[in-house]
Amino acid sequence: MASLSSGINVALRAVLSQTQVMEVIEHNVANANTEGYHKQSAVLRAVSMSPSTATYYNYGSGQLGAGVTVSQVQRFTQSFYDTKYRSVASENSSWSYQSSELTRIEADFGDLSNTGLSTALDEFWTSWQDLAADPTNSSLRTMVLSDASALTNKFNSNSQSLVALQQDQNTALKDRADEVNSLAKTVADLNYQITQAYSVNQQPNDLLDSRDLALDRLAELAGAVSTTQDNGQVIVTINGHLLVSGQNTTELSTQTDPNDASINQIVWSDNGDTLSPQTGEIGGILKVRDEYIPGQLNALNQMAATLIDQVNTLHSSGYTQDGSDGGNFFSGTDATNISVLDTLTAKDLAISSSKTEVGNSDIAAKIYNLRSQKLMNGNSQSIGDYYNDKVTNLALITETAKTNKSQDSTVLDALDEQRQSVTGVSLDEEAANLTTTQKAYQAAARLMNTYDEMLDIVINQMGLVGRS
Amino acid sequence: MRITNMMSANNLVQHIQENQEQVYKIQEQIASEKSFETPSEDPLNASASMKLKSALLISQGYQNTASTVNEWMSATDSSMDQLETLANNAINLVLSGLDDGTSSTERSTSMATELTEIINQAIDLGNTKYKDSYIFSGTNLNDQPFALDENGALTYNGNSSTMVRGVGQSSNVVMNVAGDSSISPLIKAMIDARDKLKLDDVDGLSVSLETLQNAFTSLSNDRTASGARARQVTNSIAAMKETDTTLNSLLNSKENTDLADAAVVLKAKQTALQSVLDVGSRALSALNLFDYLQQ
Repeated sequence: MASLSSGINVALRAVLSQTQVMEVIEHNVANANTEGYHKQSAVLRAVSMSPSTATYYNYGSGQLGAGVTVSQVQRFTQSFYDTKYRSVASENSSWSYQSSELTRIEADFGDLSNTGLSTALDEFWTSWQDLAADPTNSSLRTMVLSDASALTNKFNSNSQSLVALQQDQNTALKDRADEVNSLAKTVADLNYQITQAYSVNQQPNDLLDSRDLALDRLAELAGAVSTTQDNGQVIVTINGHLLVSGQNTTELSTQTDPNDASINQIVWSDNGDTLSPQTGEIGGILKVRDEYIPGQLNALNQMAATLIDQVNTLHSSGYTQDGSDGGNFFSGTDATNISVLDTLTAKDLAISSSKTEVGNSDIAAKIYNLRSQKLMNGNSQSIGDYYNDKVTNLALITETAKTNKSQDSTVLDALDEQRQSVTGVSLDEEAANLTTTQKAYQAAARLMNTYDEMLDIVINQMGLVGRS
Repeated sequence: MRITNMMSANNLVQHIQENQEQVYKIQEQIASEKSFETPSEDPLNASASMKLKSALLISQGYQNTASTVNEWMSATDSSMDQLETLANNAINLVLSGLDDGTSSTERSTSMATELTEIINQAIDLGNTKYKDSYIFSGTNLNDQPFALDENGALTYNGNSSTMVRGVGQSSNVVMNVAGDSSISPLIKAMIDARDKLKLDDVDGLSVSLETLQNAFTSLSNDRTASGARARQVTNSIAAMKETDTTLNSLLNSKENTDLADAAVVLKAKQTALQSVLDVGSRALSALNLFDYLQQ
């Protein structure tokens, strides 16, 4: 034992250190359910006695220690899993976005119900067939007109819902670009604060938590990749273009595509390059907006154009019941504006190939025969088969997106579990630590008490020899 | 592996979610009786089901046409049957006119009158209408085909066009019998015979008989041919009905839920969900070390 006063210091240091440990445990327990929180732990280190004191008081053999101190508050982290997690998260969010939007198209089209385009098309053909069998029947004529309107309405509503969905993607794209900008600013600010903390030799654990959360979200949004530098700052890039470097960010702005006024694009403010990530929600949006929707829209337009062209040609070549020339049947040029000619009434249907024969229905039969003619896809498919193919293709794409989404989710969950396993707070663990800390605190306090009693002896009870 | 409290909670929620989704899916399949609602749930069967539905609708269209054709041809056949009877009567009348025991007066009066009556009936039959359309006037459906002009000669107002109808993917039938080729010769022969009776021209009458018999044979042949076509239509309707049954059962197997199977799966999934909830509630509410530490 060296001296009473240094002994009391050892006890004091122990009490203070254990209190600090207790506070770290408290912080962990408080944040047991906080998203992105990394478990912290106070690292205790034994303090060796200062050399001068050691020499002076070294009566016995060996050096005496000077108690305990908290050397640092450590943050449990696993940067390998962070990188892996973010790369899977960006894939997953792209698939998840695609599958939800594609499901919307399927729901809008309703191809498996009896209200789908495919059924409307079949009913349209059949109404011509019925009329061909009984050409003077006026109710069958009305039927042709109403089935044709049902068909054109279905074309219109399908293409309108695709256009509306495309517009939604524009809005979604702008929202995501804004979010990337604001997250980039957050990361840049945190970069600054983190360096400040490191420069005064402190561990900015909770700032690091916030920055990791922002980086997770940036990966989900656009597949952003980050690298940590020696000074603790991160550099964030998307598709190799710098988003955050130190305290500086490169802004993203949204503008109308110069080639197509109906769609927006995201451009980098520094060099004007277009941002088109393959992954992340933005990647998913671009895929849906620029690939799937135009594909479906184009198919609908081609079908409508073929139908307009073929039916009009045949109908114009026919004669009405009173022998006048038949004109166009459909108006419009594509799926958005296809419609049965406004002025057309039941008696204007020109289904006879002869001016005088009312029982002739050759034209109606020919229009019906368009059903099985290979008019689409370089004259290799009938209109119905072509549409069936398009529906099946979309269904396969949707199925793939759903499958990939669920597979990626499984991987993502496993990775998150790995991360959690290292960084998460276990209450049992904290309870155990709490108990040991409490005991250590109690023991240190008891020690101090002992010193106090010893000092009492030295100060108050010594040197009273003979007095009482 | 180090397990944290948040891990167990997340894990539990995720598994409950997965199980509930599966139970929901099967409930939906049972309630809707369809094994898929959108094409992406089963793209290949969905495509097949769309094709089958289309085939059924198209087949229904052909059947509609076929039954219209069938009715038309029945009307035709029944008129031609009556015409044959009339032709027989006329032939018998002419034969008895040629009989030596028949007097000239009888020929020129009562027999001629009777034949005129038969002619009028034949003209009426030639003007038979089905659903407001004349069936023997070719494609001039609205124009009455047969009439007598002021000289008592037969006029034909129709044309000789045929009406071809599709009653199957690649099967077309002519549904009408044109009046000018089938009926006109018969009525003309009757008129000729009547005129010969009136004139009491027995030699001429025997020539008329031959013409009349030829016209009768020709009408009979046309009727037989039309009957054969009508049978073709009937057969094709039967065949399409047969095909429909097959298509329907295929469609059912593609898109309908196997209810018994689904019910069993639902039961299993429900049990699984129940277990997850049970175990989960115990794991989550389990006491942790904090509860046991003596303060």
